[in-house]
Amino acid sequence: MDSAIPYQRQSQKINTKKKNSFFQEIRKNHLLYLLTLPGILLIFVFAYLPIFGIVIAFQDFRPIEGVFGSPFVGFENFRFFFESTEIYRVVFNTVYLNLLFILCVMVVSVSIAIAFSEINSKKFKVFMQTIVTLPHFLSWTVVAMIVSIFLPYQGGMVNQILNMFGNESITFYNEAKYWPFFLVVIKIWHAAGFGSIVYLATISGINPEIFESASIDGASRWRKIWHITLPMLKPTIILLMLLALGGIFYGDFGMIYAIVGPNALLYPTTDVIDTYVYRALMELGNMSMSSAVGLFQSFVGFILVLTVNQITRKYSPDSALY
Amino acid sequence: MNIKESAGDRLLLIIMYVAITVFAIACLLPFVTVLSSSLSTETAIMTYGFKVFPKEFSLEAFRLLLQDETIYRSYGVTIFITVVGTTLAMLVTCAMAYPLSLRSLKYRNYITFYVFFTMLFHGGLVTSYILITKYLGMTDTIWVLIIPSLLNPFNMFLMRNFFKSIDESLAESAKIDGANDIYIMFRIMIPVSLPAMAAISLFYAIAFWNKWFEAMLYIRNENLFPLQYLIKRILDSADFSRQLAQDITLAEYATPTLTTRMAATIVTIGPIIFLYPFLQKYFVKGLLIGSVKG
Amino acid sequence: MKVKFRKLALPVLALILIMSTLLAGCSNNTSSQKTETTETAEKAETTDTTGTTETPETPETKTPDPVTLKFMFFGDRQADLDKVLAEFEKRTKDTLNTKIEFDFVPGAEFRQKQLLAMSTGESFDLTFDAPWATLFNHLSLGYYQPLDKYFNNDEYPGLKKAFPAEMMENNKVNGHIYTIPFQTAYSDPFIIAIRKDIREELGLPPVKTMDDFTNYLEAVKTKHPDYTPISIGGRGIFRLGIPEEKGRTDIRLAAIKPESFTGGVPFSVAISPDGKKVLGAATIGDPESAFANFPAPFNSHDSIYGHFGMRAEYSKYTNKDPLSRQAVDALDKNKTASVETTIYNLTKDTLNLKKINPNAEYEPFFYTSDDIRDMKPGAIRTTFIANNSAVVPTTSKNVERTMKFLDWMFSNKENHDLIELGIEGDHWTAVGDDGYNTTDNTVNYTFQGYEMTWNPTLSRNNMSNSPEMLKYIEYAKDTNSYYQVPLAAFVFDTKSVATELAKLNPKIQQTADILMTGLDPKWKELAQNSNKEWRNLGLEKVREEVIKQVQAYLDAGGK
Repeated sequence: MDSAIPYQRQSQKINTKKKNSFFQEIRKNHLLYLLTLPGILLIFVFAYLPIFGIVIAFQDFRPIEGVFGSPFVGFENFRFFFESTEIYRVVFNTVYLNLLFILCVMVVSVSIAIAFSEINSKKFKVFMQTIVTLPHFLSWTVVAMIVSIFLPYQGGMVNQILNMFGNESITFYNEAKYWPFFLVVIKIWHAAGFGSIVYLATISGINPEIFESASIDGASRWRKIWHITLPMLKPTIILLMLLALGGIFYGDFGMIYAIVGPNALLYPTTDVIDTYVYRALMELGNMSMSSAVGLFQSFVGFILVLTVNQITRKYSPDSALY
Repeated sequence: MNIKESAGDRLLLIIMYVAITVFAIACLLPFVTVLSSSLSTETAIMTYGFKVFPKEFSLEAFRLLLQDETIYRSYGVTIFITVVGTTLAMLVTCAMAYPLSLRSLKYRNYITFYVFFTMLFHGGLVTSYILITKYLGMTDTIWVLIIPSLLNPFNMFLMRNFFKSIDESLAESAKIDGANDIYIMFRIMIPVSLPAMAAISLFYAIAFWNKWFEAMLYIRNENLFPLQYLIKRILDSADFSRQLAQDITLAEYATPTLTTRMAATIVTIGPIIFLYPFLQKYFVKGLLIGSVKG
Repeated sequence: MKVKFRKLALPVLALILIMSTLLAGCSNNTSSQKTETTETAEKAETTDTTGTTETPETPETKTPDPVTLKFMFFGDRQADLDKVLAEFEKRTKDTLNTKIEFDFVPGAEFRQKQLLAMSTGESFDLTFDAPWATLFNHLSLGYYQPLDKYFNNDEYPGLKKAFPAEMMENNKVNGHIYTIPFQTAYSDPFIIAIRKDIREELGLPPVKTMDDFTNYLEAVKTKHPDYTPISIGGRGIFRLGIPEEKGRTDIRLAAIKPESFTGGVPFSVAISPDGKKVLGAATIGDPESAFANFPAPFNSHDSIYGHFGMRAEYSKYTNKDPLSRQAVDALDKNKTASVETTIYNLTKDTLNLKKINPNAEYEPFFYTSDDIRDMKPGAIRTTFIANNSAVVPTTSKNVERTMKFLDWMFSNKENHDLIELGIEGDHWTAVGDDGYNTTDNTVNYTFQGYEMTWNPTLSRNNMSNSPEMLKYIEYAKDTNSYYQVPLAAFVFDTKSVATELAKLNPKIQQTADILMTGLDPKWKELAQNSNKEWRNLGLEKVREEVIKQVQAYLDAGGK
């Protein structure tokens, strides 16, 4: 029928169709968009309104003059970071440690969640589920104290055990090479239990009929886990990885600063962008420089997520972020 | 064939039991050490270090911590913001997550990106501070501890994920019966997503329970201090004085004792430990038997 | 359709709930503003009524308008602060009519909150800053009010007496007074606390010289291999082997990083004998040529920085992992044969030691200087700039009232004691004119004197110190015990080399940590290699800037 309409009117119709389609869409789903409104407003007020503060990264920020009065200095604030000799080391450490953290914690979290979903004993589950989340609630300062039960040269538990077996004590706090391992172990201990909650919730949402029919078909426990549980967890895993990717240039400052602290001997393997910048700017107290680095970290994370998301869209469109 | 699989199944189950037990011990022991340190005298810790059982029992650390009357008021403040905050946050978050989980919503990707962008890019403290103190006038109100945190993008994405995993046929059959989107969300989607609701509520509850930073920046009225802020003030002095020790020696800078720090940890954790077991009943495989069929 | 209607109600309610809480949060400001105005109105009323019921006042004693001052400090808010403030208000109702609101911020967040408050033009009236914090940075950016007219001014007799002209002269920056300096003494001399019980057990005489000390350490190491002869933290035996410029005017030493007066890089600066020209600036790891024209005996690298070699030698007596705070804390104090501390802290450290081992005892070893041990005049090194001070931000609207309050507080012992120590009899008891003893209730009010009240003439001594220590405390309080270093009033402006300093400081600190703790026996190599790295990061640019600024300072008549 449309082909009978003359060309101009046809294109007009397409244009109005486009405009109409916006309002049509809103009309059609008006309740849904209404639901999103409070969230949109909240984010607008508390996240987007202040976002122009990013300009501080490009200013010589003076608190008394404020954001509008401080002079503009272009990329000057980025110089100290990009010209430093440490940049390669801290960037590498940041990304390397973060990747290790993300992957290892995920593997352990998922395993814990699967284990809990398979275990039937209620008493065991309730007790254990609560216990594995406990480390998450210990502040890093307290964790650092606990670590100091194990690692000191004098009186540390690890060295005591080593001595018992006739080995010499090791000054763990002076040797950088052990620390990626230590940090990963500590991170897993701290985060895996609590992190399993999300996966537990996902598994709980799986239609139990699927498991039943698989059992009838003679599938073993392992096969059920491998072919049902894990694939059902895939969207959650991908989501969490994508979100984690955005922060991959952000080092875990809280953890590393509390546990490693200003221990220069350990910097080669544990110094991340955030701890380095903290030390560099400690005496200067320069807000502009620290926001410059922060902007850089956000930007890289952003590009990464954009890229990986595009790839995810191609292969597993439902799991993509957007 | 059945017996073989059963054996394999059982072995796997045993491995799981063992692994969980080992991991749980590793989680429990340090926690017990913290608990016992909080019940110890300071001298015992200085002399013997951290132990699993206190060598000298003492409630001094807790007494020191709880003797300040303001701590009871702050408990009230924290309970209020946790309950109110979690409820409101769940409302806002689910309201946003559900529409974004529907493939039929045309502009959902724009909205999703709109939210996601703020996860990475922040304007920094200065502009937030100006916004909240000067333009919104939220200083010294209890709402400054609640409202800015009502939508956590991370939690929202998780919730969206959970909604996505729900079978579309559920919503479709409800639509055929004449229900509108809001009815579907509140009466169908949310009840069906109980595990997710439990998990995300827990996350929000913990976040509100631990709130202190906004209090430090924006609240001067002692009656509005949340629990964590009070505790953080006590604990931070130790860290700061150590930092300072690099440069100068502040003679009378009172460092809180180790036991107080441990007691503070216990006081803060306590309630959450009591909350989680109640939510665990939602993390059961096969919870949804029957509800999907309905 | 029935379904539709009913179910619309719930979510609409929810939305309304959300919207209204959003609005509630925003509108709270107006309601709190209202209560503020009614409060001030009430206050004004009460002032008026007291004014009229009293006998007619002469113009000089008219009660000033009520004002609430806002002070921002760091640390713990004392439990009985309100009690003490109430007493303060009672005593000064007619004279000052001032209320004070203290905002105590946790230490780690203090700097941040201070900056934030100033950046929004928030008015607060008194806050803390110090040379080791952000004082000079902030001053160069114009954050604080000049306070010249309030000192040495007869209208402020309290300030005039407590802060004599000479003290204020020393604390001037760029010719103006910006700080209210707080100190009981200009310095707290470092000593090594020796375990008397261990020493006696080993049959050794009291430690009086470095040789005695080395013998002691060696004996401990041999007889008690599981003991730590001397325990150190991240900065090692802090002042070990550090040279001093005593009495000289031709060189200013920065032998360790904390002594840097040039933005964090420890440059030692040499001046020509006539005090007019800068001869050079040299730092750790520089080649010998950089020191060539320095005045003897400081014309070589090791004459200033050779103490790192001493530290490397003594590392065999220290704990093995001093760079980890937690490992140092975990050391068994009972098995530590000596530790570094200061005169003020010795008593407290001994008390803590006795809690673990009632038979243990510390005795002081004045390892830095025999002259200090013998309490000779002119023995302690200082710039005379106070280590801690309070400042008034330019955003304050109540400068005069703030200074009036401070004047009141410093005008006599009674006023000063109230704020610094609390309510007499409750939080402390007097011992004579100059001393005080703690009470069971002291723990509820231990005001951070270094932030607002410390003063050499007014602050009382804690009598729980041993008589010997009290003597040293008096010695440290006496201005005559000190000598002033050259370039004492020089303040380095970091603006033009901020980027270089940001690059250099973490690297220098890294090397310094290892040098200070003596962990690398090849310290000289480490110093020289690090120095080469620093040159790549802009060391020379900073050096040039230092020389330029010091020269300008000298040209303007500075010393």
